[in-house]
Amino acid sequence: MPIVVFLLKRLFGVIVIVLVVSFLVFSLLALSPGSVVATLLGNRPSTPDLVAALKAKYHLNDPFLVQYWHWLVGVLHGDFGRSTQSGATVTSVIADHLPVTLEVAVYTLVLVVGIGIPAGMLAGIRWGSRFDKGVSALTVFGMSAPGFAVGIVLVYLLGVKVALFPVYGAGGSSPVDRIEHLTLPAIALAFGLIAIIVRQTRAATLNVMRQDYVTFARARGVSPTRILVRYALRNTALPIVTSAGLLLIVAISGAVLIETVFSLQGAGQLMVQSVTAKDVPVVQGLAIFIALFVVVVNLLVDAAALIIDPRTRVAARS
Amino acid sequence: MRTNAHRVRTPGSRAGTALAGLVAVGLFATGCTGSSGGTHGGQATSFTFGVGAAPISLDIAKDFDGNIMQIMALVTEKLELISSNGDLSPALATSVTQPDSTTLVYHIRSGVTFSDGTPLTAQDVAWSLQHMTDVKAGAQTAGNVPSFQSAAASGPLQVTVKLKRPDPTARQNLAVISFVQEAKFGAAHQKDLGTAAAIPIGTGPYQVSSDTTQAVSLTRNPHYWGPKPPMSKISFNVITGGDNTSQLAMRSGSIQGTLVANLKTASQWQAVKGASLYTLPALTTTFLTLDISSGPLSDVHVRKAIAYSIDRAGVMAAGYGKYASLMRGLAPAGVLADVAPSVQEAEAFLAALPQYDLDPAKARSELAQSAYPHGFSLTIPYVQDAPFSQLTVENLAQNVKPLGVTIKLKAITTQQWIATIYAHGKGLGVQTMELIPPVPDPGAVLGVVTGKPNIRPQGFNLANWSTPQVEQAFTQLTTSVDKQTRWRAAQTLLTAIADDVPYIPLYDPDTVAVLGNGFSFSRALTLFDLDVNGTWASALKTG
Repeated sequence: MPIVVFLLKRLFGVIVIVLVVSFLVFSLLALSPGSVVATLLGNRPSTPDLVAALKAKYHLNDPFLVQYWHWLVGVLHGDFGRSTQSGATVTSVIADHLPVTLEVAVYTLVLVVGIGIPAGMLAGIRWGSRFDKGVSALTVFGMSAPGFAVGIVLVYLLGVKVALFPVYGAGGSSPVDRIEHLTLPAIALAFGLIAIIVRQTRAATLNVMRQDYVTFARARGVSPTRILVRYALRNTALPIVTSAGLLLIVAISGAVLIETVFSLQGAGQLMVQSVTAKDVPVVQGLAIFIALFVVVVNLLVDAAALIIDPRTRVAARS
Repeated sequence: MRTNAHRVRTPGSRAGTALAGLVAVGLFATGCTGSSGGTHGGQATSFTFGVGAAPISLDIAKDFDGNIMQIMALVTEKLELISSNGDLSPALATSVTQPDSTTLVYHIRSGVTFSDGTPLTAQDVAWSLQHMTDVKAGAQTAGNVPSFQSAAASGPLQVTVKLKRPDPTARQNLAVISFVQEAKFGAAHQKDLGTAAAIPIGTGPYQVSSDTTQAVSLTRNPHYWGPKPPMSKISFNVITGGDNTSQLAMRSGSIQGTLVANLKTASQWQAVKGASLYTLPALTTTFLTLDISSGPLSDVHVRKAIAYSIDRAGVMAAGYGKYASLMRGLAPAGVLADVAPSVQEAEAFLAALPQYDLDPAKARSELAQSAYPHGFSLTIPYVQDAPFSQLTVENLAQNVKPLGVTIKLKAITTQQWIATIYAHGKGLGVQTMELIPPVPDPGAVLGVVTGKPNIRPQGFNLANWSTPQVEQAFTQLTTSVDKQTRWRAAQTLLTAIADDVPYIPLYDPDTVAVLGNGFSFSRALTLFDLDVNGTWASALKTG
């Protein structure tokens, strides 16, 4: 029962968040310079008739709140509208662009978790060693190097000089081709994130390895592998999982620059392009999706925390 | 980014966004990057061109942009082709007659079929013209032919277009926007026409074989009525990283052609092994607009002092390298060629106009004669994405300092610039502008920036400049169908602009294409070949 209440509360929170986000984004677009008509016609020739027709078509003569209401009513009926630019449905536009962004984000997360956590744990266990110092130095470099700059260097070295990977684009539909194309973007994006997760893991491991129960375990003759897995990994898991969830969200938002460098037509590019063109339906649709994504990731992180740490279950019940 | 179908282009845009329009293109060969059969010429039968922005719609009525036109002109043919001096030649229309000043009759080529095998009919042509000029549907191309009234099939292979009034450039403008597509299909997909789910069907040498967010691929149309094009497949891969990424893509062999986004990078492109640069005259006009309705700019001596304070040659070299020429009047000679007796005569006329090269002494003298002999302060915006805009304004600000004039620079985004220009509010001050005429006709430049009808929101007489003599010439230029009358009107306007200085002409930058990996063009091309006519593809050759 407490779980049901917990979920209901979170669901209510989701609805409130989505409403607030949609209204804020709608407001910000309305406040930004220009208009839909200006961006549609740009500096092309126009006539008063054409301008009037476009204003009528997109309800631009209605008050701001009425325009928002039109959009909201449509969404409540499951209709996110059509792109003001292309006329395609918002859902199809997002569906065309989202996969590549999610693929890069997941690929990035795999690299971050697969490289960052072992490296961080090892550095924490071997605190003060050459390995630890080397890893720490690399993390400073990783956190300092902008992802897009890393991307350009990678393209030149691994795309042109050595020609191991394609220099741009997302590739075709085959998994191998896809992975081949998305490797460099994922590495570029993961570069800084690995540094963060390494630092986080190292600190957590360092803390755990200094605990009395680890000392006692060692004294009892427990094997180093068992200490690492059952003691260190489990007790460092909570902050690591929390960080990983946040990093997945960062990977989505950080994809904008990476998508530009590698010419990936993902959600980041779509958002930039749609905001520039004041394509309100698409921007709203994307904003809602991203808000939902963040909420779901946080929910999964919370759920994982409940599983990992029994103490959090007590807190949730209370 | 390349411009939206040659109209007013945001100052300097060649990399960018919707309004700023000029697009760049890019594409993916086989649905992915990298591989393309066209690599390294030889027997290559496929070609990959990098474009700087993904198409928003393949229906040009919804995305009137040079980027899209370059692609779709190969698919949806037009009634007539237009050259850079305004000459028209047959395409889907074998001939055109004009029984009176408001009627155009197009005689359609027989034996033409769409790529799906359906025969082309007069109804298809009439529907396409209505579609491209459909004001109610918000067709972006509708503003090009404001005089358009109707189009109807007047015979099995004959279409009659009615105009609301005599329009000297109606036929030329129709030549630019008359992309003919299958009416039945288009009418059945009004809402989503141009999306991947409803790609227009045309009669051109190619048909769209795939349209993804990464690339648009074309393959030969087996039903094409004309000569078989040299490439069996042309792909347009989207490369959004600018010249840097495009150069890497060409070095890696994954593209064989693209446009130079920033002309300052031309030397870098020349360093790419096997790459050749092709200059495509674009008839572009860049200029400063000086709102004469208030403040210091209302004084002609102030305006002349400003004009004498810009090192146009220096800024041009810094902004465009060798790929531009100085404007001698507010229209390139090529734009005047349509009404002038000859290009040479147009050039001679422009050269004889008062010129305002950098001259501090003359600038000081002009300011001394003004109502502001000790100087004044002014804020001038420049567009961040437009190098020439920033360079020009910075140069001006520096050069007028000794005169006691303080110019404060204000960086604005392309969107802010568009909003300002579009609103045409009070206190426009000095703005930077770039126009690419949709047709090579003086009306496309002078008819846009002069005349009281253009002093309004969405009107581009940003100087708010008008005199009785100018109004008369404006009317003649925009309504007369007599060539000599229009030439005289153009001369009057250009002379008045040079004397009154409501606008300061700057530069005429070229469009530069790069081909590499064994590909070249077999003949000289213009921007009209690339963006309007679709004739560039027939000039591709390997080896």
